[in-house]
Amino acid sequence: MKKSLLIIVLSYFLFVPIAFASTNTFPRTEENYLVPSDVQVTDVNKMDILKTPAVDSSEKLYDFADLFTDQEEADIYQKMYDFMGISQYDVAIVTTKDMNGFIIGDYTNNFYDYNSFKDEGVIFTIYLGGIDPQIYMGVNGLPESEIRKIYTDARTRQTLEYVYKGIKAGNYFLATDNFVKILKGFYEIDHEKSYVIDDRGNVVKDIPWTEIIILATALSFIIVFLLVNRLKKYNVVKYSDNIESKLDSNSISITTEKDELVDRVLSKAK
Amino acid sequence: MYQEDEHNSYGIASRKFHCRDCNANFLSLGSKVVEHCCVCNSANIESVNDVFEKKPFIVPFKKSLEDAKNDYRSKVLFHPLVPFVFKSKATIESIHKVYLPVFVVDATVEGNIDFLAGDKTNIMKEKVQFVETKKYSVLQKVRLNFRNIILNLTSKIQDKLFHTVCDYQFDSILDFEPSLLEDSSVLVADKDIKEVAESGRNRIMKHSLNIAKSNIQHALKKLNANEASVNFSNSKEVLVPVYLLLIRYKDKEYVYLMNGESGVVSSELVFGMTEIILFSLAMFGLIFLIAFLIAYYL
Repeated sequence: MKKSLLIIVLSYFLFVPIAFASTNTFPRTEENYLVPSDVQVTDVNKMDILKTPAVDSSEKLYDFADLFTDQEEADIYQKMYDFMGISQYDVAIVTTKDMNGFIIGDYTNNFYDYNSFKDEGVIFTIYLGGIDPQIYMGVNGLPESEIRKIYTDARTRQTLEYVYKGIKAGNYFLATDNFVKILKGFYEIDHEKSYVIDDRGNVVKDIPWTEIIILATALSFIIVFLLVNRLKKYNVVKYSDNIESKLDSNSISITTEKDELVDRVLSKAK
Repeated sequence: MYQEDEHNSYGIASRKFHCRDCNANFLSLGSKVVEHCCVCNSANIESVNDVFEKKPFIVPFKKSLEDAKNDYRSKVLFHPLVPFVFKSKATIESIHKVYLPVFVVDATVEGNIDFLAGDKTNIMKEKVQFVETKKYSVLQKVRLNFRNIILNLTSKIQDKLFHTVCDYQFDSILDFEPSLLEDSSVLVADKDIKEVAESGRNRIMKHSLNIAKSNIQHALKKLNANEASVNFSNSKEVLVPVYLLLIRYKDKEYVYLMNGESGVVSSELVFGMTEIILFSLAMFGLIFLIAFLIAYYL
């Protein structure tokens, strides 16, 4: 009994696939389209649904193009997970070399819509099947929702422009990593976390340099001033003469021989 | 009573040195190699001659050179604004074990002292306020005995600095023994005896006048005439132990002086502008870093 339990436990750790690195897809059929319950299958979208990969929506990172090592996948997944924890938005990242005949925008949106992701979320696709790589960022949510206000078209364009430099250079991990950072950065900008976008498009902390310099200057001046004054007092040599201790107290003899009034003056007080 | 020719009388063989930089004269006994002046640590010294002098009394060292170095280190090492030259190993190593020649005398102050004294009182007369000042002539007959007054015989140590550390216990005074001078130097007395005596008298008289003055029962008091005199007795020449360090910094001299018997210290320190600037920059850097980290992570 104990032996079989041990084998089950070991099997779990040895053979359970890593949660964040998956290329598993499930076959869609006309009997089972594998779409979320709110998606209505019609003649118009039926073919699109069938051509869209069906995935486990909990996996979040779908590296069909095999761009990342296991370690990189773990790293990216951790950051995605952190971001999802902060924002409560869903995030999916897809890499592929085959878009099943879709253009990248349709492929990305269908991927998000026809799998069971949250109503509000962001999906990022890297396509490497053409001459040049292509990337796309889809934002899902109602038009007036918060997520739409955070990831505006302008910010989406700005993000893609920045990330594309890395993709073009073949730094897929770095570019994807930056993408997640920027997602988080935009979210934090809009939640008063003091972030700004620098000249190169990076989302960076808005450090109040002027205030820090003023604070450091003022405080260091005050500290040095107080220290100098305190140490000045400490440094002054306290000269003393111990002659008093040399006086033989038994020998003190002072007698008043005379104490006479010699004059008396009365004057008006001022 | 001491005589002027009693100076430098140690009664044993010794070597006398003269420092060309600070003009100090000092003696060294035994085979100890003397390379530096015991006052200013200059190597610019010359051996003048051998002297054979009469022996005085001596108060032996009770504090070790290491005690003096440790005390000095504790005063300067972690003091961020003290110039680096004060903290250098060479400076600390140049603390010298020195015997200073002094006269120890008993003194008696005796005589009449005349004071002018007075009291002021406010008086109201017909709704007008007046001040009544009464003046008195107060004559006091004084007799005070002082024991073991120390008179500094060397000009190389300022009196006011020396008096600050001067709490020697003369109960344990010993006859001169050459072995007590191992590893130490003896500064040669170079002050004029009459001036030393006069300075001692003034010091004692000043203190005596204060005592007499405090004995007057009036609010205002002023010395009118002083017929009291200070007489010395039981004088003896004694070598007293000190640890001495003289540091030259920006054309000024700063002295660290420790009583070699009791460990009482008087030290003159100064702030260095370079050190203040460096410390300010370090403080600025530290505060800047902390503020930056707070701004970055919060």
